[in-house]
Amino acid sequence: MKRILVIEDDDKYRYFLKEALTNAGYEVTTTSDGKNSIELHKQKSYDLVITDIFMPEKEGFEIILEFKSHALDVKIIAISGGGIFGDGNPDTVLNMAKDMGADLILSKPIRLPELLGAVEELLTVDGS
Amino acid sequence: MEKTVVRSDAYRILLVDDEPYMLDTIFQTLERNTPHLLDSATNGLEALDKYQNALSSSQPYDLMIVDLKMPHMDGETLIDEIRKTNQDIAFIILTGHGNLLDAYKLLEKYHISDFLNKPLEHPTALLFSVKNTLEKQRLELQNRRYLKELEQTKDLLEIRVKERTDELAQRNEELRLITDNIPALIAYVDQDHVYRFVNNAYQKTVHLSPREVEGKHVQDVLGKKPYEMVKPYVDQALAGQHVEYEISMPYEDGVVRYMHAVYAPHMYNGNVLGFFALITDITERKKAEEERKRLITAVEQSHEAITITDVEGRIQYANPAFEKISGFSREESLGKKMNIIKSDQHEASFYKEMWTQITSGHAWHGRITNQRKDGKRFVGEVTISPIFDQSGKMVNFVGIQRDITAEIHLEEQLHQSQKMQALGTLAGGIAHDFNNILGTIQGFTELLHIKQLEESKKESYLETIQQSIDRATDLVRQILTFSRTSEQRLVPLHIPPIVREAIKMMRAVIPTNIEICENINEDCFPIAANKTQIQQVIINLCTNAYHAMQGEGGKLEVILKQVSSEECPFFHNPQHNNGTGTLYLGVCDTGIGISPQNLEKVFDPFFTTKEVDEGTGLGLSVVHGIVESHQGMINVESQLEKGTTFHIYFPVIETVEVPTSATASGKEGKEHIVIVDDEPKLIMFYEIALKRLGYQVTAFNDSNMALERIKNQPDQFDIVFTDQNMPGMTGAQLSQRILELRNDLPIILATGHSDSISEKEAKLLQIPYFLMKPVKISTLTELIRQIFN
Repeated sequence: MKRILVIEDDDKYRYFLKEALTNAGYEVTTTSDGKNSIELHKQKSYDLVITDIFMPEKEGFEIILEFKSHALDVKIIAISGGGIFGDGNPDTVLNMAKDMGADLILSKPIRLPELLGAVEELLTVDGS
Repeated sequence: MEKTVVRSDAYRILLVDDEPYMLDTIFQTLERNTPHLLDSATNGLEALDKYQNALSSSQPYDLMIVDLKMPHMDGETLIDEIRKTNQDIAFIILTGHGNLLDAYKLLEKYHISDFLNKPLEHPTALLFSVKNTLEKQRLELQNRRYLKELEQTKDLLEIRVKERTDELAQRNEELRLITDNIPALIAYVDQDHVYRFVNNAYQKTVHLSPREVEGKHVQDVLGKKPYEMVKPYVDQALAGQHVEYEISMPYEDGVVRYMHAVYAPHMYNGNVLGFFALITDITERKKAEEERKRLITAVEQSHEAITITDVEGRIQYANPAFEKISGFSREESLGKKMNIIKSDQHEASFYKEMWTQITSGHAWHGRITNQRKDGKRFVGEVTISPIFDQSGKMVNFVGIQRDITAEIHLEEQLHQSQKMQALGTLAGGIAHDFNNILGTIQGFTELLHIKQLEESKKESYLETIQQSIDRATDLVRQILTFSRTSEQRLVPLHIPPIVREAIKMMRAVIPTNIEICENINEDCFPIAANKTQIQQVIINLCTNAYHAMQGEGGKLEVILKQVSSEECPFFHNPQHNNGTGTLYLGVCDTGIGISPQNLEKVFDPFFTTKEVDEGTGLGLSVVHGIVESHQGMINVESQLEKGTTFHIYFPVIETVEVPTSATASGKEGKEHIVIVDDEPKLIMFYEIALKRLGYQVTAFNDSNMALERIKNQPDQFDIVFTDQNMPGMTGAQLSQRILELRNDLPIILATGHSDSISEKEAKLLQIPYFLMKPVKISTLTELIRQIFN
């Protein structure tokens, strides 16, 4: 079973991600902040990290950079509903996340098939 | 004189001789040859008798021809007797040859005119002697009369001269008295520029007595420079011209006085002998005039409309600014009542109150919507003050008004544009929140389509969707509050929840490298405030703080506390100091700071140090405006590279009625709550609800894990809310274990109807608080507040 780490500060959205992915057959761990994400990964060796970008404790950008700097073999999906940059458009934010190394970016609100499709795509390409 | 003329023809002559022949001869001779009236006597006594009779009947004799030797009374005795009282009558003596020497002696002694020897040798001698004697007597009498008249004239003249001299002295005295009492310098200066007369007033001005001045040259009295200044006028006066001038005179004593002088030349036979000078000190008048001119200029050039009315409100004066603002010319307004600019924008009671205030002797200040001559309305910021005369009687009202229509318009525009900016700043954060909400709703809606979904899951998903919709509604409400354009009223408000809510909004916007520290004291008096505006103040200041810390990160601290009025550096003004105290709001950052030269401009509209796209420069000016509209004070402290602190002070109000809003319901708190329940849905529900109210929540769905955590950090938590019916350890058991660790920790036990424990039993176990399930959030929070307040 593929393991997914979900980092999302919004309680309800985190709950949605957990439910959607669990229901699709993945083993899901959720956390409201990304402070211990590297440690969590070391313990459980996730196949995929889904992270929000704007969070109070630690920003998603930082988390992506951390994973990338540790050259960890994990796929990353960045998700965002937009934020404080420029026009507040989520795409602007997500393109930055992509530049930093996110494998896929999804703009909130995310359709369920879009989410599951993206997850499946990344985990299948991996070949495992 | 007539008498004299008669006498020249006929004199009265008395002949006195005891010899009848002699008497007869003389009588006849004179009677034949002269027109004189003759009488005769034969002795001295008779003659004396006749003389006295004639004298008393006012027909005195002019001449007596007297024989010396007579009986009864001789001639000498007779003459002697008469001469004692009469020097005018003439005598001719008749004497014999032998008595010639005696006759000469008598001639001298009695001023006898002539003598004739007896017997008379020729009548001609008699006639000649009588004629000569009478002529001589006439001349003598005339001479004597003349002398007498001369004497009398001389006496008269002397009296007149004395009278005139006295009169002149009197006049002189009066003149000096008059001139000395005239409050002006009066002088007479002669052709040689020498004072001939000065009045006492000179003493005051030149510090010399009139006696010292008189006889001195003008230059010696006034000094060289003043003399040179007046000399051209002196020359003109001495050339016969009437001179009048005003001059600023630097007198010897160092005092400069403004003088008005009139010189009147003194002409005599076409020559100028000198001139009279009348000089008035007009320094005070001049000063008052200048003061008045300055005042008039100030009033006339003032941009504020100034009107002076009588006590009935009729315009007596209006300045040009009034003409400009009202559209009524001065001529049109004079005599009219102020209501020519009255609009229909105020109730009659408004004017009545104003009128009552000013007629009771107090100034009135406020805004009045007035109407121009052309019907256009304008808003005037008006002060009307009563003016009193010296007796304390109210005589006028002076009205000063400034047309603030454009200002109000600008204010509104600024306010609006600021709102748009605040909205724009929040747009990103709102989008972020909103997309999370939409994502949740969308996600769970889609999950609900999954077939064979457990009922409990379905319920949980629907519950979450509902909560997300509530959250979206709340968000929309907030946005609407911000974008509302209607003018906001100030109402008594409790500020801490408002500040917290604003900070919560900012959290979504501010990056995580900036630590937000809330230091909010709940025990604050309410202030008269507008909620949106107070939030705007926080958002604007926090946005600025965040921009100042962009990149480096830092700490943003928001402080809200009650301070005494003495602690407020600005509230020396009694208007702001009602003795209750002051609410202090501080927003403090550790950013780049503001340079001293920029510090004084930060509140200016459109002042910005940011790039064109980053800010409008309105934020702080709006903050300033809002603080002012709340009767507050704001100042800023900053150090480059250290950070900036904005200090805001609001006057608090003492009021019993503070309207509560949904977020200011008295249910908020910030205590740290432990929630223990085996039902995750409930945990989530309570956690969200309590966090929204400001509480810190740590939730466990396992009672053992909860106990473990409390054991590790027993002092970290303020209260425990636990379900009774849980697998493993029940709520009651957990409570007992917790009380063993910390017996002062409040515990609320929630039980269902079928649960194995009653309230009574819970009390026996020393569990202090007890609630029946289902526990509503409002019930729970009310109890929590009850416990902590």
